[in-house]
Amino acid sequence: MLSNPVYDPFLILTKVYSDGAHVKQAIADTYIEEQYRARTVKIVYGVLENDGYFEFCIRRYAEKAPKLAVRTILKISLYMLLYMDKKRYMVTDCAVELCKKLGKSGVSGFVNAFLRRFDKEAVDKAIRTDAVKYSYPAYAYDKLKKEYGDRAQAIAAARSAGVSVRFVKNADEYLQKPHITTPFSQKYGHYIFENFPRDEKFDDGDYTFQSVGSIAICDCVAACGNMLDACAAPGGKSVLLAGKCKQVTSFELHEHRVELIKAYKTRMGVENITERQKDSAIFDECYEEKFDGVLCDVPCSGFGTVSENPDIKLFRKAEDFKALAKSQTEILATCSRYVKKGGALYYSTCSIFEEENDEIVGAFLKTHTEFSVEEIDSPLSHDKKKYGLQFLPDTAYGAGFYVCKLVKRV
Amino acid sequence: MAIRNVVQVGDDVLRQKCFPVENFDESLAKLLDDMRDTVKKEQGAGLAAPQVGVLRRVVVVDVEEGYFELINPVILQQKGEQTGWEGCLSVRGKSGIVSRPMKVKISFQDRNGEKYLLQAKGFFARAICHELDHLDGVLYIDKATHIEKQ
Repeated sequence: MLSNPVYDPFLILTKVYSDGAHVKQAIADTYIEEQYRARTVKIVYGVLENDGYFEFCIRRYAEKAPKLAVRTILKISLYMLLYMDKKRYMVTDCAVELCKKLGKSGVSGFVNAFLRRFDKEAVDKAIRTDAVKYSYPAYAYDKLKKEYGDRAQAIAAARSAGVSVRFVKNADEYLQKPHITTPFSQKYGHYIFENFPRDEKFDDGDYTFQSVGSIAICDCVAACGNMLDACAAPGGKSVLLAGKCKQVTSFELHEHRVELIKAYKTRMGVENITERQKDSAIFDECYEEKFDGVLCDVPCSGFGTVSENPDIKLFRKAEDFKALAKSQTEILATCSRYVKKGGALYYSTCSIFEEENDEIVGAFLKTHTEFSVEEIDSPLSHDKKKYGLQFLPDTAYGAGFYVCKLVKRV
Repeated sequence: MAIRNVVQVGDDVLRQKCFPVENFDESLAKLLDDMRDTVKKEQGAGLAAPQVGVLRRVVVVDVEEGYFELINPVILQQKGEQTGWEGCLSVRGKSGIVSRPMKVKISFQDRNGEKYLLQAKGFFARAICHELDHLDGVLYIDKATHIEKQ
């Protein structure tokens, strides 16, 4: 049976666009043809990555915005046309066929006409802002431009380098496949692959999927006795830190995410992790000055991970930043009380914006004079900010993140 | 078979003091099994846990006298002196001349937590001293009087 390549991506994207589902969740919840999973996932991510641009393309040809379902079909078609080098007649056929299958024969004429007339050059000439070109929300691109000037384009255009894998053992057989070595290959068995289908060795704990940011942040954490990972799920950092710490305690706000930590550590065969369901923003005197090291990998806008999670560009709104800053500040202040005198406090995010990074740390230092910044370094290229290290997607395999180390006075 | 990645000199994990093993559980058994596979494959005389990125007081030694798994090992006595060549899986492509005690007496636990005493001499004693140094962040290149590229 021949399958319509537009259909499965359409189902997933509809969940994302109309129900606001996270893309990973939408893929997991949708029954899709296994045989074409890779293609389907590629299209879904590609469409989300280029959403702003595709939206602009459609509006150039349609005075009144078409209905969501039609826009989704057109976006998928545009992705196949522009990024997968599919023939125009084939893409048009698939799109028209899907319209009919969905009982939308009425719009098939419009879809047909659009795809036949679409002219990328003419559209690109009409683009007035880089935000559209890179499918960035306007407010976020303004921030980017303000902070990074000319580098904003490179940051917005950066794409993920591939699938980031950390091997614990038996790496050799997988390293026959094409891969990129990173500054963390020798030390942590970290490699990036173009494709990496998960197999049974994943369940044996031979390897895990861990982002370069997560590994780089752990690399900045010094070995110590009692470590707290204050926002721990799914547990990747806790597991990596468990290798160089005597005992790791992992806090996680949500009960179902505590289960993720349990599953992760069991799979990797790590036993010196204690997970607790706890809100890291609310002080618990049981833990006062109990830890040699505390890592606050706080909730953030996630704008450093848009190459992996393109749906962030759709759902994250300008007004979210205020609430995020509040919780980032609270978590850092609360968890600072869990640090022993002479111990270390680490603050990290997967954001590229100063307001979530150095600004939070700066405000914290003003009110917590018992802490001071300790300079750290990383083998992965980064910008040294006033307090911490800022990694940016154009030079860090498509990932943007931040880490800062503070020390509590004895 | 599980071959772990052997970290190389320059990595700060080789420079840390390791933590004692308190739980003699499945994860310890798994670590020991992996260390055996790794040391056999690399044809080393011994391997310490920090060399596979785990800061625990665990070493394995593979010599003529046999194959030993030493957990929380402590040197109780040492006698005499020997001087000779050493190499290390974490310092590839080099070897160096190091002085070590001729005989050592150690205490250690096995993978079930049972306590034992052991006496070793000659190369066996050298291997034990070399691996135990790893548990305190010491490499043979710190002690060698002479180092050569192989």
